[in-house]
Amino acid sequence: MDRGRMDGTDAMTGQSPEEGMISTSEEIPAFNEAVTAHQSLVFSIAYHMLHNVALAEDAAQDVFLRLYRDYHKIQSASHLVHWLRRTTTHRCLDSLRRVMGRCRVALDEIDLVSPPSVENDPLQARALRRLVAGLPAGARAVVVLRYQEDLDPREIARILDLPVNTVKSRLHRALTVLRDRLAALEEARHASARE
Amino acid sequence: MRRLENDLQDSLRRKAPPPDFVTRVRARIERDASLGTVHSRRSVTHWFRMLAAAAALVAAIGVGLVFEQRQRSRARREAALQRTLTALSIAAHHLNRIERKAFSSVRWERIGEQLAGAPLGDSSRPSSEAVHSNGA
Repeated sequence: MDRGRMDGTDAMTGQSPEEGMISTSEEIPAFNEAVTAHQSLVFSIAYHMLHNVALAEDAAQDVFLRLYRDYHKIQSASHLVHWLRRTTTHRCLDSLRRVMGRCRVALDEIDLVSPPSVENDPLQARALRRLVAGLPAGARAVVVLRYQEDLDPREIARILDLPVNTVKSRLHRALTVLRDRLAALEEARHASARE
Repeated sequence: MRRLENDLQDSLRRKAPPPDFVTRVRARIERDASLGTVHSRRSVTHWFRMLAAAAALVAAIGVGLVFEQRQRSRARREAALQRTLTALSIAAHHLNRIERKAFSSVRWERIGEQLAGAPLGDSSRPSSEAVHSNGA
């Protein structure tokens, strides 16, 4: 991302630029391009984390607003993607903490016998998304970054500010929980089909 | 586990945001900018930081000055105490000398009186001259 510094008026807001804000005529189209190019990345992380379209859109708008403010700090295209993933994940984790209080349920404590009510859901993908949404916030973030963004544990650890081993163990436990829940779900489906 | 991972990749694929998402983002940026939140937040933070740094500097200088002043006055007090103790010790030494001198002069005076035969303190005892005249 090649960005020069020039004096100019902010076309998006119509206001004079200040230090640290988008201030060049080159930056505004670059910012608009960034929003267009990465909107699905940001929105998808938010949606899979929050499992609610309105909340996800609000979170995504917040992230782009923050990007607008901190655009001068972005150094490259890869840095932009990392920044967006990191900011979105942390914004969603904050949002989940605000909504649910400090959710400190360990993965082992999740009730495997009564998974979310997805028996009537014909789509496996939707069922899985719901199961992911039932995971604790930290584990959910790891799973979303791993399987939506296809990141390895080291990159996830950088984004979440966690040790790599913590990420690996969270991922492993989350997969175990998901597998058990899915098995319980399929069993329930078979039972209802037999009846 | 591999099947589950594949299923997860399928179900957690990127999802397109609702239509007009970009337009709403721009509108929100414009709204926030017109409210001054976007632009002023940084400058307010900047000024707040500057103010906090200045306050911290002034506080540090003030604490340093107070500390130095206390150290100086403590040193002055200690020096004054030392001088007073020295003066007292000199005075005590002089007094001792004077006392010794006074006692020794009184003692010599008494000895002189005894040698001269003068009665020493007891007026009821008859003098040797009176004893001799009575006897005669």
